[in-house]
Amino acid sequence: MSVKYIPEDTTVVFSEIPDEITLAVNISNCQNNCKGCHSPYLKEDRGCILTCDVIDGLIERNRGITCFCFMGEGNDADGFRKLAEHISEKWENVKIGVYSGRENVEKWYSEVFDYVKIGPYMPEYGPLDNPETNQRLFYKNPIYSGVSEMGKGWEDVTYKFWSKPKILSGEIV
Amino acid sequence: MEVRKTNGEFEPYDKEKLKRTICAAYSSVGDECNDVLLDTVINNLYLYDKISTAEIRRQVEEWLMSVNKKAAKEYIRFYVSDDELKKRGDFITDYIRATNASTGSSYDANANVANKNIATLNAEIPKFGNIKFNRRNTAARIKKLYSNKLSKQYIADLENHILYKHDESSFGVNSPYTYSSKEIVEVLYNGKNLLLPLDLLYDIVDEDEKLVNNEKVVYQKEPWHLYVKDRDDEFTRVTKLTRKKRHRPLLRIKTSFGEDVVVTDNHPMIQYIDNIENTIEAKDSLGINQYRVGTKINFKGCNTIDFKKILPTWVDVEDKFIKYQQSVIRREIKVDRNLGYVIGFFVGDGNYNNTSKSLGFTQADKEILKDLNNKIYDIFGIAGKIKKENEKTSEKYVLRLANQYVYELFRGYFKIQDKAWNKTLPYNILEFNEEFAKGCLEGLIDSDGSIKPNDSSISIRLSSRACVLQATYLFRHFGYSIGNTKQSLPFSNNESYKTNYTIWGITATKRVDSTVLDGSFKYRDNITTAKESFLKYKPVGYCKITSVDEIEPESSFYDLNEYIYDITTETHTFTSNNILVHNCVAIQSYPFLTDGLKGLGGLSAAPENIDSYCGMFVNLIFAVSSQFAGAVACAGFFNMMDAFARKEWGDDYNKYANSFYKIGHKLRKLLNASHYWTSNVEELASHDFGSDELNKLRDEIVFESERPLTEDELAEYLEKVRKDPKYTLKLGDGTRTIRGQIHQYFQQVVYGINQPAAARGFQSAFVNFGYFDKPYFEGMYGEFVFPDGRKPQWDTVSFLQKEFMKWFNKERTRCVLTFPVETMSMLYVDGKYVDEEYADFTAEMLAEGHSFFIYTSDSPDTLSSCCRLSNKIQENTFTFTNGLTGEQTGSKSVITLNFSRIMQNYVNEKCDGNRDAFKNDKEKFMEGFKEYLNPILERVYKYHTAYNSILWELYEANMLPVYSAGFIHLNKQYLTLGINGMNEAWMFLGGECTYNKDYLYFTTQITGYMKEQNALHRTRKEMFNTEFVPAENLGIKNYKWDKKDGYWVPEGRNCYTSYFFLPDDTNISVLDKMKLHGRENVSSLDGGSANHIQLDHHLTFEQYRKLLDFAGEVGCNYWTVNVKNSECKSCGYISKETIDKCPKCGGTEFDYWTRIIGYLRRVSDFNEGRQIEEGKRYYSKDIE
Repeated sequence: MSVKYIPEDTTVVFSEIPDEITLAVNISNCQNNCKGCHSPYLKEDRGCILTCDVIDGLIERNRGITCFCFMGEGNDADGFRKLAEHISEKWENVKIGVYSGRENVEKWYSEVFDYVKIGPYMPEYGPLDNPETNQRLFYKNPIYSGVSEMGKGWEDVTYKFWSKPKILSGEIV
Repeated sequence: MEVRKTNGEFEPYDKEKLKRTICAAYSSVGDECNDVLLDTVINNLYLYDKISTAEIRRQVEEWLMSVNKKAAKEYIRFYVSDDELKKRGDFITDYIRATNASTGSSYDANANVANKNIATLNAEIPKFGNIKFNRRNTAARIKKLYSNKLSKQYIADLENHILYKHDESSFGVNSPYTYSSKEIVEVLYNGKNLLLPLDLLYDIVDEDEKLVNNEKVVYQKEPWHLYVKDRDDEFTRVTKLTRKKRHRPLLRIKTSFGEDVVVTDNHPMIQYIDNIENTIEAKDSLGINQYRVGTKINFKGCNTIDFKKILPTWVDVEDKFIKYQQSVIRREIKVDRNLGYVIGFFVGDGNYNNTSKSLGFTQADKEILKDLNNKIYDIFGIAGKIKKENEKTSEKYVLRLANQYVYELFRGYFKIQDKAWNKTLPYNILEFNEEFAKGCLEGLIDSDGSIKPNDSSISIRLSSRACVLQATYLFRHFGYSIGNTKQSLPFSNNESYKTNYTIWGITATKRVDSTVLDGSFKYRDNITTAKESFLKYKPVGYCKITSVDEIEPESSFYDLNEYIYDITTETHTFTSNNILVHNCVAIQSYPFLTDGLKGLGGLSAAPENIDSYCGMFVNLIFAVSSQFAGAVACAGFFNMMDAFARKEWGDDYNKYANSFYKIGHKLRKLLNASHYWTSNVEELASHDFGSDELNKLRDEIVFESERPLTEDELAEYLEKVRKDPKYTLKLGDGTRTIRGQIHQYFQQVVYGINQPAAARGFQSAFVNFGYFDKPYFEGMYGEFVFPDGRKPQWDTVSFLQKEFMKWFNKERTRCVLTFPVETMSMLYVDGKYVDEEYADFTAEMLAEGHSFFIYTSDSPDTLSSCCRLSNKIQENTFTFTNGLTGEQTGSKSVITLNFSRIMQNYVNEKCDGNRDAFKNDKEKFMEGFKEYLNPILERVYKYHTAYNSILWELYEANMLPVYSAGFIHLNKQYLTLGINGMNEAWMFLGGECTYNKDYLYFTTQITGYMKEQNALHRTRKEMFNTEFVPAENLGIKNYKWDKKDGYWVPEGRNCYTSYFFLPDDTNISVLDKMKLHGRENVSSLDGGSANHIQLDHHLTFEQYRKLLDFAGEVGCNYWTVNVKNSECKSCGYISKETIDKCPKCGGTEFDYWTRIIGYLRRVSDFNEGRQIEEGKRYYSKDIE
């Protein structure tokens, strides 16, 4: 078993992690079974094997990203942990994020990751930018001293998906 | 007799061949052509040696048009290619049918005209001629400087689409055209029909004269009701009259029909080749076709002159007499042949005595004088005395008429000037009757004319050119044919008579149907025969320039032309001496410029306060932009505005922005009633005045309302003010804060510059504003001193910049304004922005949806002055006379190389057509390519040098006012080599336009080589740089041309790109775009390139801030973010985001706004090609 990713999906994004320039990497072999999943093909065993070298290559090629985000966790928990730890050791200036569909994550997550999204997609609560959403994005904010489900110093930043940047538009009278 | 063919060769005239062609034209429309007709046509052609075939064709055409239109059309078709006909006829139809103005334009599709109208169409038409003129002009210069071969190569390079010369369709710099002071024109002024020389016309126009250029001595008047004869014998309105010091030699251009015109040597004459207008410099105009305009004189028929209307004072004596000064005279005189005769005689041989206010007529023949005296008596009821002039030396007699009122009549009413060389026939001669005009000619003949015995020709020789030209006008009217006029220094056997006066002469030959001028003695006695009317005088048609002579510099005519004149008309042409001529198009917009300029130089017309500064600024922009095809960059706008703002409100006005500046009537009432005082709006809004009445008044003021407020409105308003103290900008009763007033000025300037400019064919002026961070500002203006000795002040300038950006961003939600294009310049050193605050502010503005360019540099030595142009500033010196257009840099000429075509030619010619040649051995391939490119570059440098020499010549002739006045210096401007088709060249070689080593190697080898060559070719007068040109229009043209000519072009596209990446590439990341436009590529592009990042939604402050850092890190020095703005078609709601449902009215139909390349426009106003391209652009999205 190994962690696999979809190379052609790998892209620089702005919406997935607020305030960061993120390289989003789709991980296949998804173990969740969310109803109304947007990318059911990620449940399949497809794509290429993601290794530390591949990750280094991706980060080098996409110089300028401020966050590397795993979109999913795959079915190889150990391999996945190794990869995440590799990034946190090697790439000081790149934050690490993960989109997990589970309600609870292992403890090491709070040591390795900077961003953790938890909770399955549930059509009745909508995606992250819906204020009704059941999903949560936590950020290990160095200047945050509060406590959240993820632990001390982890801020729930889900609200950032709801409060869009202040874009000027015509007044609606 | 020989005829000149279109290729310039000569062949014998072949009458039979001509007949055959005419017959062929007849038979192809099924008609028969009989011999009688053929002979009539052939025998009535006006032929001369070395006549051009085009001229013969034209004459035949004219004949055929009058007898058989169908055959004539067929005849024309033989010579004019279908293509040409189509071009000529279909352009207007196409334009009218085109979806928008950009698409309709075939010559300048980048025109930022929003609406098509007759004015924009009119502006399109001359561009055709301008291209030819510019092309020809440059080619001629290349020929002069280098060789004929290279000159032909220039045209070939342009026509083969290897090179593209930008802005050929406009006179990138203006060249004012000028005429000698004595050229005559027929005008309508205040309802009067006048025939007079330009200097007199200038004098009689009532409007005030303005000195528009002190240094170059240029004056102008703007008449209200002045019209001048134009083509088709119609009058056209005159908008300006210009008088200026002459700096260039004068040339006399003569035509085969005897017309002539005296102009400066660089005057663009209108040339006709196959009925198409073209221009050519006067000095090169020998042999070209001119268009002559009819001289149908319509005498107004006035028969009497009422002295009461002429003289300043008079006393009624009797019924028909009045007393003026000491004399009693007839109140009314008849304007008849006799009066004409006396005047003609006076103009020829008379003189004024200005002290005694009398007139003298000199003649050797006493009998003629006696007859003249009789005529005088008949007219005026008084007579003069005849006596011998000087009994010892001369046999001449003088008739002296010492009557002031005749003097007034001649000088004041008929405007007959003093001094022989200034005298003219009455300037209002056309107001009277034909008999009077006849008399004038007869008087002229008897005084200064001579008749060749037994011949039928009259010759008149005068030192007044204007009079000779007037006489020509009249002789023509009376059916005389005019021989070539002559100009010479006078001859005399008597040494004492020798002067350097230039003598002008004409010969008028009597034809059988000419009017008899037997009121003249000389005529009566000598002219008995008349020549046959073999050639009926044709009022309209073509003629040839048969001679181009320089006026002898030592002649008096040069002295007379210390000043030369020009007329600016609405149609840009007018008739002078029967020839249709150009007016000056550009100099008209000059006046405000000098005022504004001089102002900053400390002279009288300076803007004295912020009000006049903002007003004059708009005028300045319009004035400057009318002379430049490209953009006008105003880096110093805020610095200047700040200086005036400080003058108005004090050096710390930024701290008191919310203070009242103007107190309106309601506020005054409130303050007076309550004795409460606050300078602050927020305080006012929350102050309780203790009475309902006063509180109501307060709310009306702060809510900008004339009516009482509802509870809800008031609550909402107060909430807004609490959140954002800046919310209140403008108050309801005219009360304004300083901030409110500043915004008012912004509004004035921005809406002003977005107005379509008539001088630019109803395009708006392209205006760029610059913002600076603190170190950049200090680098730019640290040494700057205002004329009043003050220095720039960063705090307040920064305040203004920020206010403007915020205001402009917000204003764009009310109305999407295209200009100014803004650029934020920031300094990035050692891995960070030196002024973090400005970097943060920049990110903040981007996050608020503002779209502008960002320029980063590691030293403030370059200024992004155009949409993208980065030109190194040589010295850190500033001209104190300006500061408005700032930093005196930019391009004076751009020639763009089509690399796709050049590369394909190279591969085909040197690599056996092997498209894998790069992959096989990239070093060898690129070395070979540089060798191949070298001669092309060499040519471009020469073309540039030739063009530059034209510019310098114009400059030295004081014809580039913007330059002469110190706005810009020619030496500080670049000659730019543009790059287009780079990606396509690379794709042709099988490469991918992504951030990869081979691509970088490929591009940097080329740009590096060009940079190296630019440096090698630099001289004192020529500096070259390389730019990745925006190619709004050219990108599409190059694609089309290459595709049509069988070159490889990328599939599925319609346009060559303007970036290193492909705008329709969905895979390339924002970061890779930055890297492709990063240090490696742009360091060799010393002329700049712009990176456009298309996004489908706006980012957050933090994300933009990180992007800014990344741009600095990779050296992406010029970039912008485009998120399509949306404008609801049903309610006009504007959003800075790309939306598909209107939050205001629920509408789903939108107009989107984005940058066509450099500036923001409505997509539906793009030209068709760009609309298609826009549809393919990839706006980076996130994964779903």
